Amino acid sequence: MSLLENLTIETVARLATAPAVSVTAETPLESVLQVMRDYRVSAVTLEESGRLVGIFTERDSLRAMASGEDGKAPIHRFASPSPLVVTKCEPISGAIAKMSANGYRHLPLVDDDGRVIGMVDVMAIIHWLVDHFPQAVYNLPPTSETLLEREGP
Amino acid sequence: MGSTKMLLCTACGFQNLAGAEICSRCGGPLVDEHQYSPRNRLEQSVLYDRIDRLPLREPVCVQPETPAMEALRAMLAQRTGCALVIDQNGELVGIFTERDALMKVSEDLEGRGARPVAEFMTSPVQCLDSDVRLAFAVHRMDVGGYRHIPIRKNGRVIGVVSTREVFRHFTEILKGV
Repeated sequence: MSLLENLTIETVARLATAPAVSVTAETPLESVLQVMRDYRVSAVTLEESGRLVGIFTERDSLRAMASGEDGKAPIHRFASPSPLVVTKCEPISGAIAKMSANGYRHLPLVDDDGRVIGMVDVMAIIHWLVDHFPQAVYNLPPTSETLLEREGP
Repeated sequence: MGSTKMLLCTACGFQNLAGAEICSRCGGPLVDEHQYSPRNRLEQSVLYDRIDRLPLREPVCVQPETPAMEALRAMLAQRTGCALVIDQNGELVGIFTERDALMKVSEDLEGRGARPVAEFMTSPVQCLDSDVRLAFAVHRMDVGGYRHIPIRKNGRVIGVVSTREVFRHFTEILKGV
């Protein structure tokens, strides 16, 4: 199968997704940053009674740090509400389109009941792509010289 | 007048006239049964497009002694996930990313935020030349875990490519096929 077919046929289930790390909406900012450092994750989900209510990513952490706000402030003040999600049966091309359209690097992975079961990180998709490049890629030198345009008769 | 069908040499990327049996630049065989021809626009792009075909992002540049908090604010203002750390000789000495900010600065914002960004940056930096192929750059991102790679031309940084530009490029091709 070609890379193109693979992208549209293979699903998110084939990606090496990370387990989701979640916090409540009221967790203090400083505790969330600590959790992210300890678990070495670049995004956490905000959940209330098992329901996804938000996402807090590295990008949000930058904003939170620059805001000068107190570390005791609840995380929901810095998080993005109702994040875009993916399910296991969506094609990988769909996940790429969702990330691309909004500049996101993380999509929570949810089951049919909307429960968070993992996190799809942009690097998991990059890894999948590299795994599925046509083998011919590896026979090429890394650089190419400018190709000549030739006009036909 | 249209272009004649070209035969790409998978060894050097040269476009040969259809019907040629060996590449007129590198002499490699073109009729080898193992020769791979891209089956669609996506494979074609991955195999042969250069990285500078993507819209490169204008980098945010800071000095090694710039306070970490100031670098962080510049990244937010420019809506970009990294800052390039350039010394007084114009040398790229490091890269400061959102990840560095979270992992190394966030613990003690008041103290570390005022310290020079050079203390928290990632160094040395993985750079790529502007003529590397797309597949090569994506492979480097995967192996190194990099989401941003500075792109150089004639030894000078001309921009940064991130996973965002790569995905946008792929999405555009997918829309077109």
